[in-house]
Amino acid sequence: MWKLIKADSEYNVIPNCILMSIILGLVISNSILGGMEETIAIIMFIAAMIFGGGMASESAKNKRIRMLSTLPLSARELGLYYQWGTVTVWTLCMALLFISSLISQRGNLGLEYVWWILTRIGCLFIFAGCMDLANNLFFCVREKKPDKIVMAWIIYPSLSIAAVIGGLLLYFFTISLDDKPYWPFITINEFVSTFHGSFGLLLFGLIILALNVYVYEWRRSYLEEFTLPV
Amino acid sequence: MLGPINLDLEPGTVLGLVGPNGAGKTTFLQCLIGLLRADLGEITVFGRPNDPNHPEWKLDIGYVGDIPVFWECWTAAKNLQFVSQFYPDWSHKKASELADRFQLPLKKRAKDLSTGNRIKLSLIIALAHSPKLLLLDEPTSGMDPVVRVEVLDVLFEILETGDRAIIYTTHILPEISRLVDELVFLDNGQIRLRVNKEDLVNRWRKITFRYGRDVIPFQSVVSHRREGNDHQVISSDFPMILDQLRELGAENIQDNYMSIEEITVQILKGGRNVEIN
Amino acid sequence: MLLNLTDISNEPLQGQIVRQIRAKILAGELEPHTHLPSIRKLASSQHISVITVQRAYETLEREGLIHSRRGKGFFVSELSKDKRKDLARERLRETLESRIRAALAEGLSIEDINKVISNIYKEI
Repeated sequence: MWKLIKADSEYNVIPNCILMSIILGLVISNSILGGMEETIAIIMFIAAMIFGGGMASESAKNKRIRMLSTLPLSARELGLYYQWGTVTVWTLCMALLFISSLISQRGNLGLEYVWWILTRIGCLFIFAGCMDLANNLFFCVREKKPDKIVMAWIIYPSLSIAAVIGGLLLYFFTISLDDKPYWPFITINEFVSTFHGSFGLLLFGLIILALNVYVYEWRRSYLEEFTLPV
Repeated sequence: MLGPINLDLEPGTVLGLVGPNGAGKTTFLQCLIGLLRADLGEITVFGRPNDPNHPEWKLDIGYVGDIPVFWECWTAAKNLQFVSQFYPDWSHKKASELADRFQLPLKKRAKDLSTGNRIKLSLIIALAHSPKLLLLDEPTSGMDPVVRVEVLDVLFEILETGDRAIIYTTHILPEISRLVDELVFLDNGQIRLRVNKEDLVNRWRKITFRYGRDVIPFQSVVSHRREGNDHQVISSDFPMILDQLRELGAENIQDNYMSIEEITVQILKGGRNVEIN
Repeated sequence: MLLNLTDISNEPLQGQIVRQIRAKILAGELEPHTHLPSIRKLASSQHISVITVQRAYETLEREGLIHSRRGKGFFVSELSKDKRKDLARERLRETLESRIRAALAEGLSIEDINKVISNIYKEI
């Protein structure tokens, strides 16, 4: 698996550098100016949602599955490899954000801020995990027509839409606003601002990602064609 | 839908997989390498089940698929270097020798390679670690005749040791006819026929003869043309037909051998109506 | 051992191999006790399948022209003069039979055919 990850980072060196510079730029400005955490986090989250799915390097990675699956690599290794980028990059972004806040606040950070970071990590894991899960489940179906139709037209779209809406909503609810208008908003917000809430969210995200690794082994097809079975 | 298929392969044999498009040849090979998971049944390679979580069995296999995929922005050479990490038996010397023989431009980026060159790269990846089983799905498509011959040369050399096996799919039948020991005809996901090549060549003939009376329908005659008293039949059991014709008193019996290609076309054309004896 | 094999002939490869090796043996080019190339070696050098060479060797063995020694491979057999003559006779008969049948069918009589044969002798 490490050979794959190393190859990946070598292969994507330029896009990664660009990405990292942008992130560093944002983060450094936050450490100087302070108070931009929420904005930056939202930008990064939306960017991850858009680019994570549609990024050229990600779809190329998907295409290479056909080659990687013929190599003597275990399905588990490949499954982990596919989740690795999501986990590390996002955690790194959040960690940098955290550090920048530490710097801007000169070490005076409330504990809520830690929970805040954890919830954001959790949110993205849940979102990315669900998208990948939809993808993996799609390839787990048997060749039988009804299975494929159910998967392609019902389950896959539902999961994807749920992931997008859910991710955004979840994220939205975790933003702390001084004006908390109505009930569910308040409760969720309060909930995730606690230790249990944020850790729960993070754990849930990790479980979904782990589920992906498990489901990856059960795929019936490692050919990357993703065509709707008409 | 593929199967059920029962296939045993002995080391030292070359198996030619023939069949119309959609018969399941590509799907079959994809199942063997683990790109597709079979719903039922077991696949054991050299005695090891093809478990996706214990992929050591893949170390003994070299696979060339219908659609080659690489790290597109990397050069062919870098792709080879990447793959070499996963095979302890990889030989860089062999890889560069093969690249020379196949005339593959190593410094070109994978995405800039022509289809033929991409298949060549696939081939080198499959061959450089000297696997015991080669699964080749149309491995010479897009190649000019000179390189095609070179590929066959390499395959013949590989077979010399006697412990390798090859499963080879192709539409270019003349190429396969010299190489294969056995032919497997696949149609609609099922094995229609598995036959030793020499048996096939010996038993199929084109026969012409003269016979005045109405001809009794023969068994194992795949096609029959008649002009007056002149007949031409294609038969899959020459000894039997010859006896029958002699008994009937047919005259001027002449027979011609058929090429593997001609025989294959007859078998595949005939579909379910062909009497395979 | 160099053989001249072609895909264009109507005769299948197995037959060509048998015929050419037989000819070499009968002509004395391959002397008795010569070690023939292994099936795999010959298959590889001539670019043909193992099964073809195997069948060819089996045929030659059946005809008594070669024999196999366990673990050592195939060797040219010692042929007595009589045996050689028998085989040569057999070959001639095989080739001529269908030709003579055809000639008769084309309207030649037995005397015509004999005349042609004597002419050939005179020329050789």
